[in-house]
Amino acid sequence: MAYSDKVIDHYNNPRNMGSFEKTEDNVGTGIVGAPECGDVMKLQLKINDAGVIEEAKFKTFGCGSAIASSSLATEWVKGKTIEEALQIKNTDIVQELNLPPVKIHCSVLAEDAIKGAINDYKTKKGQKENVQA
Amino acid sequence: MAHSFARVDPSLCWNCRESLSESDLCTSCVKIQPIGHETDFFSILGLPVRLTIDLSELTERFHAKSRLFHPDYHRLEDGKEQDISLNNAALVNQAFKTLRDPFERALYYLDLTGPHHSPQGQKTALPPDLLMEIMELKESLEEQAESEGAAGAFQRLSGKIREAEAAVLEKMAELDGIPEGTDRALLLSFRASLGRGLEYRKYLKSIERDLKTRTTPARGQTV
Repeated sequence: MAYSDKVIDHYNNPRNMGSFEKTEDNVGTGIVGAPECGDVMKLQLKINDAGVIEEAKFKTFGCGSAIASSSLATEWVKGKTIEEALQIKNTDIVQELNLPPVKIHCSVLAEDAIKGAINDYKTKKGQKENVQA
Repeated sequence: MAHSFARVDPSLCWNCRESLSESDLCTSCVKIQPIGHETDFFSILGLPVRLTIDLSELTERFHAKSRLFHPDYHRLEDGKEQDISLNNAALVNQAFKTLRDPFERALYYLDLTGPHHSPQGQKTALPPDLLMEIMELKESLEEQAESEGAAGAFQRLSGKIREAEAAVLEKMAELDGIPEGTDRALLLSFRASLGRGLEYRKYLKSIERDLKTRTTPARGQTV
């Protein structure tokens, strides 16, 4: 199976690879796994008080498609509001990267990671507000 | 396999139509009987559907069934019997291969006995903190392999895998020990726990594979 040029590009030059400190208040962390292939994907979002995603970082252990999906996801979410980021669907990633059917689960992983990161951020924020109240 | 062996009445011999007293062989005309594709691996080898099995018993059953069905013993018979022999021997091999490995067996068992037709199937997602642990373990192993060589990293990982496998085997025995009629919620929680254990092991094994390809000496470095 051949990878598309876009997948290869993201694989060779991954955007926004790395980590934020996960305990920071304005950082949401989403971590998801796909046991069928042993992939683990971590996606972190730095979100400001206006609910805009200022920065995104990822770390992924997996195949080229999983790395490309998470790399693309970090590019896409940057500058978006939480609500806008939640609109990103795995099918968008499939289309953009031209993923073959056997690699669709990689894009699902990326969508789940975005959602997980936003949930984590919201939970953190909620807890903080509860403490302050 | 192209052939299907759907019979009008599986309790009758396909050849002489006598009723069968055993499922593998007709006692009247001595023809082997086809194993249906819906028959589970445990039944194929005549074992109870359980997570823990006696390996020597499994091997014995496998040999007995192979002696009965192997195509070498049916070379001189007509086409239909050769087909049955080939089909049965393949199923017996597949059953043996799956049940011989305790982890393959556990996956198969969960799939076979699980609640079917649910969209989520048997998928048991690992909690985020465990996934994080897996990720960190992989990173630290790779660093270790880089700085002090692969041997130590493999040793550390092997220890982890052994621990994970021991935990899975323990869960398998536990689940077998749950008496019938036990609360369904409790049973499901044991099944989920076994599923997570198997999944965790799978991740460790995939780290092992990755580490192997990564540390295969590629350059002729001289130290």
